[in-house]
Amino acid sequence: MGNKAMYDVLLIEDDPGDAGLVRIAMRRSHYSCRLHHVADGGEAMAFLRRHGSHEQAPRPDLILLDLNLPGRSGHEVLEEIRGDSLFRAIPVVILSTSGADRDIKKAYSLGASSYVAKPMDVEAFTAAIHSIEDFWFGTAQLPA
Amino acid sequence: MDTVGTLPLWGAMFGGGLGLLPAALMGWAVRDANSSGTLAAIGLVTVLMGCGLGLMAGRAFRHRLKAAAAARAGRLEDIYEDAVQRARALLSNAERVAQLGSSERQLETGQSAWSDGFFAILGLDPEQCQPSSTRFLDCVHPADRAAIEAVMAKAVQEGRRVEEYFRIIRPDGEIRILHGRAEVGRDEQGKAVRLDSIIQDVTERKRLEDELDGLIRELWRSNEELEQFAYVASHDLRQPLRVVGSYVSLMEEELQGSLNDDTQEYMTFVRDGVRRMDRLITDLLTYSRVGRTSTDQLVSMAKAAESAVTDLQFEIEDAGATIHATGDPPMVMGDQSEMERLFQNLIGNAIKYRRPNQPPEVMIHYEDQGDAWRISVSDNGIGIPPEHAERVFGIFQRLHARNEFEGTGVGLAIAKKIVERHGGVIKVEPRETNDGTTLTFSWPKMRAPVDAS
Repeated sequence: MGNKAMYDVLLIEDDPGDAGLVRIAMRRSHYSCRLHHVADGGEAMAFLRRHGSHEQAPRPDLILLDLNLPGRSGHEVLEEIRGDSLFRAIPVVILSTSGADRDIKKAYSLGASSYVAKPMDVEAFTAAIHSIEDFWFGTAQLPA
Repeated sequence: MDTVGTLPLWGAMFGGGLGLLPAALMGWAVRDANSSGTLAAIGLVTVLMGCGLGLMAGRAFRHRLKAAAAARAGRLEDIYEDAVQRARALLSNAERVAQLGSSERQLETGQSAWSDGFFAILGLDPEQCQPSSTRFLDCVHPADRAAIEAVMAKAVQEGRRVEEYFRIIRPDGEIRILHGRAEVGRDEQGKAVRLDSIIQDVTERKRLEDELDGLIRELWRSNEELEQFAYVASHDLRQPLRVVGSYVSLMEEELQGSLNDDTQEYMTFVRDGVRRMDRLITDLLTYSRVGRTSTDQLVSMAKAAESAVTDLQFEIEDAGATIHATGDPPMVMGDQSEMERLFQNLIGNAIKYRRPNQPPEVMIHYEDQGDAWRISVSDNGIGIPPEHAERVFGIFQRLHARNEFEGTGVGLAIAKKIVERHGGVIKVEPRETNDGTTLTFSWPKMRAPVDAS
C-alpha cells in the first residue's frame, strides 16, 4: 500500500497515554510506519535538524503535532517548522484535544496541513489516525 | 423742575391778585368816604397779605411735589436694583449648583470679569483679587498650564469653541479637576471682541468615572480569567479523561472473554463515569462560551426553531413526538447559533421529560407583546414542581435520578444565559392543570446588543 514501503512519522506529543494510542492505531494500520515520538518542541526541532542524539534521524514524511505542549506551544513549534525552508514542505497535521475555534484558525493560518480534534473514545481515535494515514499516504502526493 | 421751582412766584402773584380783590371791593364800598389814604393803605396790606399767603402756599406745594417726584424716582431705582440683584443671585445660585463659573475677557483691553462662581471654584476672594488671565493661569496646575494657555490662544486665533480638562491648585493647596470651555464672543460686525469662558468643577465626577473605569477593567480581567479557565478546562481536564477512557476500552478488548460479570460491570462503570465527566466538561464549556463567540444580527426565530427540530430529528422520531407552532415567528436581533441552541434545549427537554407511554406534544407559541416578543414552549410531559421552578435554571441542577433521565443539568442554565444575554427573561409558567411544562421567554424588540467580545 502507498507509494513508499515505509513512512516515517514524527509525533510531537507530551502525553505518553496519547502517544501510546497513536502507536497502537498505527500498529493496526495497513501502512508500514515508523513512529518517532518526541515530547516537546525543543526535541522536535533537534530531531528535524539532526542535533544531539538525533544524528541519525530520518526526514519525516508526516508530522503529527499536539498543541498542548510543555514550554513552547504547538502553535510556536508549527511556526518554527514553517519558518524553516528545509522543513516547510513537510505536512503537519495538528492533533489536539481542543476544538476551540481560535486554536483551529490559528493553526491553519500558521500553515497547518490539517487539524484533527482527538476523539474521545479509542475506536474513533484509531479511525482518525487511520484516515490521516489513508489521506497522506494513500490519496495525497507527498514531496519526494 | 422749572415749573415747580417758580411755584412760589406764581403763588405770590396769584395771592397778590386775590389781595387786590378785597381791596377793590372795599374801595368800591367806601368810595364816598374821604378816607382814600386809609383805603389805599388797607388795599396795599391785603395785596401784600395775599402775596405772602400765595408765596407760602406755593412753597409748600413745591415741597410736596418735589417730595413726590423724589419718591417716585427712588422707587424705580430700587426696583431696578432689585431686579439686578435677583438676576445676580439667580446666576450665582445656578453657578453654585452646577459648580460652574464664568468669565469674560475683552480682547482689546485684556480686561477680565469673573462671576462669583468663577472666584469660588478657584478658591479666591472677589474682594481681594483682581481678575486677569494671568491670575487665572497662576491657579492652573503647573503641569497643565502650558496646555491651557495654548488652548485659550487657539480659541482666540481660530475663533472656535475649545474645551479641556485640567487641574487647578487652590490657595489652600487642594487640587481640583476642572472642565473648561471657551468661545469667542463677537460684536454686531462679527468682530471677535471677547473671550467667554466657563469652568466647571468635575473633581467628583472624575473620581466616580475613574472608579467606574477601574471596575470595568476589573470585570474585563476576571472575564478573561474565566475564559482562560474554561479553555484550560477543555484541554487539561479532558486530556487525562480521554486517556483513561481509551485505555479502559483497550483493556476490555484485551481481556475479552476473561472478564467475569463483576469485573465486566466495573468496566462499564468506569466507561460510564468517563463519558459523563466528558459531557459535564463539554456542557460547562458551552455554558461559559455563551456570548463570547456570538455575533448578533437579524435572525429568524422560525429558522432557528426549524434548525433545532432538524438537529433533534432522532429524538423526535424515537419518542414519536409532534411539534406545532402557532403565532407569527418574528425576526429578532440575536446570535443565530445561540438561538438554535435555545430552541434545541427547550424542545429537547420537552421531549426528554415525557410521560411513559405518552408521545410528547410540543407547542411553540409566538406572541407580540408590544416592546418584546414572548415565546412559549409547552409540552405534555412530567412537568416541573412549582417549588423547583427557579432551581431548574441553576447550573448542574438536576431534578431526577440519572437512571430516570440522563443529563448534566446544564441545558436550562444555558437557555437562561442565552435569553438574558439578549435582554430577555425566561421562566417556568405556573401550572394551571397538572399537565406538562410551559417555559416562556421574552425577547426585546429594540435593543443595542451587549458587546461581549
